[in-house]
Amino acid sequence: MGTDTGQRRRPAKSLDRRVLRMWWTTWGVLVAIGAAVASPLVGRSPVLTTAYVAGVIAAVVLAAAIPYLRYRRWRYEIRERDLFLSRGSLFFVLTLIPFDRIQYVETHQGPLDLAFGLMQLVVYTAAGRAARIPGLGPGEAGSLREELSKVAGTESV
Amino acid sequence: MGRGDGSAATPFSTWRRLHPAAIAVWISAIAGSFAIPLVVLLVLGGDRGPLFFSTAFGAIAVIGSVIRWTRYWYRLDGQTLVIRGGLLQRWERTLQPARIQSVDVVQKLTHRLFGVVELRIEVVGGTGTEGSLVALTPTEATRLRALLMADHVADDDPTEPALVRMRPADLLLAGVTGGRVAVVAAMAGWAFQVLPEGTFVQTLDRLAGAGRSDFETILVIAGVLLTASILISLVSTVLVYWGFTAVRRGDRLVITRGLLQTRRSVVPIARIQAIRLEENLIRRAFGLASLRVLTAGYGRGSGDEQQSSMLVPVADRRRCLELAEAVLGSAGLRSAVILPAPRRALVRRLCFATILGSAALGLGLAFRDGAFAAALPVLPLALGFQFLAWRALGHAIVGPHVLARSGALVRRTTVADQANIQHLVLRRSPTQRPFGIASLTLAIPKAATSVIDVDDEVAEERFADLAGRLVG
Repeated sequence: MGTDTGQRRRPAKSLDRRVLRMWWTTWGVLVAIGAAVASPLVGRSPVLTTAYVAGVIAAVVLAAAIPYLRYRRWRYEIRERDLFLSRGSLFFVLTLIPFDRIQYVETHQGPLDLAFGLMQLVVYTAAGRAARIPGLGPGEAGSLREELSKVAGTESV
Repeated sequence: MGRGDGSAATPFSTWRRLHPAAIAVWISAIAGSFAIPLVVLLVLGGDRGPLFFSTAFGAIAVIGSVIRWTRYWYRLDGQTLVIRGGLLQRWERTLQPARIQSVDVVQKLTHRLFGVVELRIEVVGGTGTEGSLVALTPTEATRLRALLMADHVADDDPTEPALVRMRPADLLLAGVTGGRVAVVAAMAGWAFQVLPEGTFVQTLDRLAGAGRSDFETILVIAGVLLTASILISLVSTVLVYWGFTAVRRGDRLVITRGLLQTRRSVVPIARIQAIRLEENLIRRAFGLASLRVLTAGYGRGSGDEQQSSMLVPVADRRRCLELAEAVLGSAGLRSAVILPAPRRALVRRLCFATILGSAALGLGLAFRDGAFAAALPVLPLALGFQFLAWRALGHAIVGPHVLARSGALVRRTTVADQANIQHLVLRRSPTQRPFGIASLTLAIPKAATSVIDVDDEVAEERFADLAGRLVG
């Protein structure tokens, strides 16, 4: 606990597993739309058909792998004096938000979140949106919001 | 709700209207916004339609402005400024003194005509100017500003020496070295859109005429653009920065400037988020730079942030750093040892440039001869640009301040107090990871600063160190 920020010590909590299904579904729909739009290429020439098949396979692999990697890397933890996040499937990002810099915290629930029974938590500092934690269960999102709101600083910049 | 002028002791504690000149100021602002379409309509629109439309538009502008004036009220509740207005949708805005970043007195031509000024109150987190009292008498504005800034400092001391005073020769130097090529390019683009079809091409043909070779034509066009750029830069610099003085009065910076539109900005030094030294290629060659103060007040929407934040339009680099030290209260900026980006970062950038240049050449080959010739300079330009961008990168920790430098063509060195950092972000892109480098973003209100392409271990060390200070 405390201010240990080395990225080798990863934040403790991972997202709700339902978010992985949500991301897979979103990617799956996008790949299906892409494949349908590009389908007239099939049969025009052997090269185009091969390219189409290769493209669809690559897209399916990416659609399976990227959400999984993203889910694996997404971690958060409320520590003694800060909120610490680690995320990113391709871009690895560490974010540290001291409690006394938090201006306000809010929860969001979009149509997809609603469909999968999830919520998002958004944290703002005076510099703008500092973090958006997707894929939280409603109970976890609510308790995080309350906890962060309690410890959030009120210092003016 | 009292709507008189209030008592002499507390003149602003009751609801007050703006000076009636506000109506003229709003009308002139509306006319300014629609000037180009109106002129185009009057010139090209035929006989009677445009005249009717313009008259109706003018009437709406006048009636709307009068109604707006009758509904626009303000008062001081203690030190809190409350503004209300609106006809169909009433609104009320409260500007607390703790949020006020700066108070500016602005006088445009319309204001001068009526002997009034505008008071603009910039607050932290605002997307634009949140408090705008567009027409007050100069006495009212001075008293109101003093009341709003009462917790910052005592009255002005006219004997205080100026930190910066721009003489006409300095303005010429600022204009000539300002490098407003982008403005010229934008104006050329606009002219291309607006002028009748063919005029632009005919002008270029005339420039290229008289039996000149292609090389000579390019030289002539470049000369015309350069002259236009210098002239525009000179005129805009003189208009914006005429009579520029910056004075430190207690805990505030008072900046006065402007020829047609005079402006007096008061910036509490405690509210300065960062200071930024800017050096374009021309200025760097002559050891010159400009210096800006970045506060959380000037919103991007206000359109004023560039000029309003200027502390030194142009001066010797060392003088700029001296001033930065004076304002930030830091003694080590001039002697700061900047840690450059590692050579691995250069290799990565040159790889990018090579890929880009080769792709351009490949495309050029795939199309026609002319395209290949046009693609030839892409590779050396991309390599040169990336080299310059890499060479500019660097950072340093100077006492309580963090310094970050970047920018290929305009080198920007930002210095911020670590206490102003709101949160930290450490990022490793897929192309940074193989080269063992990372970037660190220091989230500072309206002055986000990035330490780009740092050695991985150094980035982690800085992240941990800054995090320790933030939460410690």
